[in-house]
Amino acid sequence: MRKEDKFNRNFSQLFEEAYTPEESPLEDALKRPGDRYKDFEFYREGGIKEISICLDSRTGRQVAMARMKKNSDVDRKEPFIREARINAALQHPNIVPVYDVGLTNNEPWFTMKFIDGQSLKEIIQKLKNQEESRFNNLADRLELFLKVCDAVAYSHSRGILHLDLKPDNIRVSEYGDVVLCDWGLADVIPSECDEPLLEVCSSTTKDFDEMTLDGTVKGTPGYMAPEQTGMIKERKGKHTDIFSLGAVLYSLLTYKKAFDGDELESILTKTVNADFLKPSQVSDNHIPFSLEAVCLKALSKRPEDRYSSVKELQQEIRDFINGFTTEAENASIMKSLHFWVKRNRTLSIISAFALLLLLGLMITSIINLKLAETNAKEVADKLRIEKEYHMRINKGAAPKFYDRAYVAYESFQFDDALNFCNSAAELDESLQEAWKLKANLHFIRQEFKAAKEAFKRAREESILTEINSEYVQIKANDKKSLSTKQYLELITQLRDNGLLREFTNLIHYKIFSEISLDERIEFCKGAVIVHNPHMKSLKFKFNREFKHLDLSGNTDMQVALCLQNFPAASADFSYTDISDFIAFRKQSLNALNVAHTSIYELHSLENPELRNLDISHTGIGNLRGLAGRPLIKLNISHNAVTSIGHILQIPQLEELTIHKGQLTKSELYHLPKTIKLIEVD
Amino acid sequence: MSDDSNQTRVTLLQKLQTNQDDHSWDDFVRYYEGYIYIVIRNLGVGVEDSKDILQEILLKIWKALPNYSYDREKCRFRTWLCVVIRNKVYSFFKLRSSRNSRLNVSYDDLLQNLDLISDAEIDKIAETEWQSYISNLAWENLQDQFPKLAKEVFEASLDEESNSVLAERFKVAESSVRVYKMRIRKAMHKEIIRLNQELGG
Ligand SMILES: Nc1ncnc2c1ncn2[C@@H]1O[C@H](COP(=O)(O)OP(=O)(O)O)[C@@H](O)[C@H]1O
Ligand SMILES: [Mg+2]
Repeated sequence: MRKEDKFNRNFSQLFEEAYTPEESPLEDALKRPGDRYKDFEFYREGGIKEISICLDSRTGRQVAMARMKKNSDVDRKEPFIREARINAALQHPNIVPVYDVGLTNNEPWFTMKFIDGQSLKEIIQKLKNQEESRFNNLADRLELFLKVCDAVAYSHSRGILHLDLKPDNIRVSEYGDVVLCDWGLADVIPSECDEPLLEVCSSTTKDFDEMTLDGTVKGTPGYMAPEQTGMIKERKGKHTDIFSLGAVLYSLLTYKKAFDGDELESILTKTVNADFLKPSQVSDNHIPFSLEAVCLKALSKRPEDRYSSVKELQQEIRDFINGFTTEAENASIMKSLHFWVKRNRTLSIISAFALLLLLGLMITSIINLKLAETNAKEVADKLRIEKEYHMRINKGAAPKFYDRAYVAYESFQFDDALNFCNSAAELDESLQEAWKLKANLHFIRQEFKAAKEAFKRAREESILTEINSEYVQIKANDKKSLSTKQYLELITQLRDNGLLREFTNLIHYKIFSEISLDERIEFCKGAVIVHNPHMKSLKFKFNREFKHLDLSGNTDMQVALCLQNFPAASADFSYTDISDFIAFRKQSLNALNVAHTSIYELHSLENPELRNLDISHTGIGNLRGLAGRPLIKLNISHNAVTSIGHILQIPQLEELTIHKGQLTKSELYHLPKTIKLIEVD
Repeated sequence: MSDDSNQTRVTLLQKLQTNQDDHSWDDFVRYYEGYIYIVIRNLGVGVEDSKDILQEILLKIWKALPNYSYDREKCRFRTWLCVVIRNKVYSFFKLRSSRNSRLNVSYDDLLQNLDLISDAEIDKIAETEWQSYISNLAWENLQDQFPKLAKEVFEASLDEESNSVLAERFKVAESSVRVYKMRIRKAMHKEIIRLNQELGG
């Protein structure tokens, strides 16, 4: 058999096709008779219109066609066409474009761009259900809101009011386009609109009264303004849209409606009085203070109390995004930032650039305090996404960074402070304070060379710069550390020159850096002496097995700050001259003996793990600081305590030592029997 | 392409008509043998006999070729071919039937059938077979250019219209089915037009 016997005869159809080509298929499509729009598919409906998707055979694209819902009143025809005309007059990236208007079988319709995606109402619903969404982040929601504002600002500039702003009328495409739809209630301001629109002006026609023809209010309860309820006499205007924008912002912040309720009547009453709960009262979301303020202002009952233009409202949102926030928020940024920086120390030092981005991110999403909990890598990913914010931070932001650096420096957060400082100096090289602080911070880290450089930029000359220069000679390599001996010499020198803050800084820096126990002991021994110059000798014992630190009997010792962060489990500082508990900060102490010291109050006591405390023979007279602590043993003999009150608030107390006659019989009567009382002479 | 350039371009058929050497004979056989064979088979001749007479008919046509005047209006080349084939088949069997009647093939029946085939019917055979032939030839020329899956989807699409059914069957996206079909169809249309022109259709 030849191959021809197996020919596939189906191929012949291709021959015919090849010779009956649509020589000009595009032209033919235009000539083809029949309906321009076909393949209708119902998409969605609102209160008035039915939206279908269909194919425009002329352009070959899918379009959305709006028609009046079935059984609509014939009187609705004019307003329907009017809506199409008004919408068509608006050409803006955030307003749905109308393509064509027409009549088929005497029924009006108009076609517009089909915006595939979701309505903002659906998005908010998802957010409320805590579903993953592109808009989990407030910054993204604010971006969206700004686009809606853009659309409204533009339409106002063309003399058109929307009057039905609400999430359902805002569509967000899959590609992030935000468009405002549904101009069904829109009105034209005759004095401000373009000539052709005068045709659709409603002022004289009956269908633009307060009420629609079917007697319902115009607008959507929950988002409408007081003047739209029909319950007060007030002109509608741009302020009406501004109110509704406030309501939309409210929903974006809280995922709830500002005005809600089961009965229309009650919603309207609340609306007319602008009676709603503040965003922060109704939502678990963190609501930035200034955004709440924006919301409240836009939602003012009296039009004159609202923003006078959409642009003004927008500017406030932008200011927030750009970080010109209130002090209150700065504090909260600070907090999250600290947290972040701390977590990331292990990831080596964050570059100034990353920090810059981070700050932008923080400013825009302080609400997202959760962010601080997400792990560092996630944050880093977010940083990339939020890169655009970094673009907004400029020279003007430098002082803010400096402020933050200073706050960090004040609280001995030297690494954070340096990061902020670097950013500040990078953003604005002429900011001398930043250079000066940076120099100080390098000095603390014994990076004398870098410090010298920064001092130069700060045009700073002082004893400190001299000492620093001296140490550049001693240790030129910023990467190396001073020996303990050199370090002690340096702090001695600082002390002798009266540079007390620098002196404290260096002690602090040393004891909070990761050093071996031997080095720590060596350093502490020296530093206590430097700190208490009148001391002749120091008794210093540390039992490594029991982690017991014993400095008792150093009767001249007044300060022992360098013992903070010491890895002791118990400490005996009795018979010393210390006057507070600051030396014990960051020590995980179970037992502490400060008998026979100059301590006279408990305010400075932290050590939450403390079980056994001896404050006998001190000036302490008030035990409020012990309430609620897990103390088991307490010695208060021969101090100024005379009342049992706060002792009763130490739930686990088992043993109490007092001196004879310290507490009256009736006081002792209240002492639980479970507590063993020891009375000493 | 304008009409002018169409006329100045010498098609394979025109070359074969004017230039009858060994080389062009090979071309002639390569391109027309298949078609001639199908037509012979269509005239009701069995596989074995077809093989026997194919050579004779090829030669006969080859010789007659220069006399064919290319006049589309009067008679298409494929129709002319078919008439020549029919006549040759007829005389071939006539000869056989008188010379050699001991074979159990009834050449008389065959001759009778051939007699009954009208010009209109010849036309029809010429047409349908030509279309099938050229299309299949085009596919032969092209198919190696396409990935296996695309080829299979396309071949199946000639029987099955629904893209979704094809997508299901070949476990590919419907959009891929559309693309395969569209690509190959377009290429085929071009190749069919080219071959048809070259071979004088
Ligand atoms: N161009 C469009 N593309 C996609 N969806 C649309 C489009 N226009 C409106 N919609 C959706 O259809 C629904 C009804 O449309 P809308 O214009 O609000 O009608 P109504 O005046 O009846 O409220 C809305 O939920 C809206 O999200
Ligand atoms: Mg709507």
